[in-house]
Amino acid sequence: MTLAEQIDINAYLDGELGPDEAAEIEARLEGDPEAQERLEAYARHKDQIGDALAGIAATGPVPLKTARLEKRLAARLHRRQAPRSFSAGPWLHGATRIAAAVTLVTLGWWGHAAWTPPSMSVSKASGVPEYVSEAVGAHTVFAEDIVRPAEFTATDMDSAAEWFSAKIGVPVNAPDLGGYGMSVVGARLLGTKEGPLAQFIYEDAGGVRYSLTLAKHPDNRPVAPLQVVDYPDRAVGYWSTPNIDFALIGKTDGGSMQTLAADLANQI
Amino acid sequence: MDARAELERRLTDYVTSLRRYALVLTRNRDQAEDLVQETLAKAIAASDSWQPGSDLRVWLFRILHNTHVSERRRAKTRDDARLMLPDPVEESDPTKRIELQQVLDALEQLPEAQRLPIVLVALKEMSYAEAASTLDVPLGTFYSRLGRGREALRQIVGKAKSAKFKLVV
Repeated sequence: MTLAEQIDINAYLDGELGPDEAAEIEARLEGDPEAQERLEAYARHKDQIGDALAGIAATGPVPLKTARLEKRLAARLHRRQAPRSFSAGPWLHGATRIAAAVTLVTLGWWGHAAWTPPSMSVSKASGVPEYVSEAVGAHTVFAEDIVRPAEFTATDMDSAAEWFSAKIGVPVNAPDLGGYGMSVVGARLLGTKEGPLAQFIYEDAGGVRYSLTLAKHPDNRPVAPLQVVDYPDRAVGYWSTPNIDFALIGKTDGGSMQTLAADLANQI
Repeated sequence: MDARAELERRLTDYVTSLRRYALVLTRNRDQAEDLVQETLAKAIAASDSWQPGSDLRVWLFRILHNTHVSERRRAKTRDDARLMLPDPVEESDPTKRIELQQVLDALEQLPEAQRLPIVLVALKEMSYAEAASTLDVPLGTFYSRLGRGREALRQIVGKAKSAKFKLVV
């Protein structure tokens, strides 16, 4: 039996295979008594070692020093887990914070002035849905700043997606935009009055930044088709699915944004 | 349950698992407890590098594993003591007891590179990806070490059994 076949049996035993792969292994085992014998032996040994390990350390009091360290670690980690507000990143202080607020206000105002809403799919209070205003502000503050570190870097997207999904309440992740020549460079979670927003930042081959912001779609609002808005110097495409609201923002013209966002909306 | 209590409960579970793994690595209860404490102290110092939402258990296992590896490198000793596993006295069926002892003996004969994947998976809490990350090896390497290790274990146990049969007959 080859090592590859042994590995397959192991992966089957440890529940590492999807249903199709598992079915394939089962079919192969059916006519192979030698492989069956291996599987049985591996399984028996795994259980025996597992039981022996479970027997360790189950008895005896936990040393005080360990318990104290454990408490202290729990306190530290808890602080790290505590929710942070939009501007509460450890680095966003003083002048930067004010600049961020000003940017949001300015863009919010531009949003009102430059665009008149169609009657459907838009919140009454402003020209574009609030989450879009927030997304544009966050894009300007975070996505176009290539110096500031992202909360999550490109290699941590799985952790980011897991955390964002838990906070937002629906599964979100960074869509693969490799087909458009864009790769993900970072992500962060934004706390806004509209609720948490997940911001994924992408960069194209020319170094131009785009951000894709995802929010939970409110149950009481209709699902909006794609809209494209031209802000000064940047364009925004936004749309909804039954679960998620999307906003794609980049320094591009409305026409290109229309094409890109329409394509992406179809894909998602 | 509030978030803090939930976190504390999870952490207590993880520390129990860490202690088990530390015992397998150090083969000595005092050393294992020292290793757990050092791991926790390092985790406290590095708590800013933990990303909320990422797997806390794997993060802690990695710290423990790396601490152990670098300590052993410093000490430059090879501990040839028996593998720290409990005596299988609780098993009342003598046949089963003998086989369990054979399996544990066989595990002890394996090189550490093969033994640790087997142990981590047998802890029943880790996926292959998590165990590979703990050991700091690529997933493919992990697959083949586990494959080779389990097969070697099977053969050692098989030989021990047939030797015993010969003796009896």
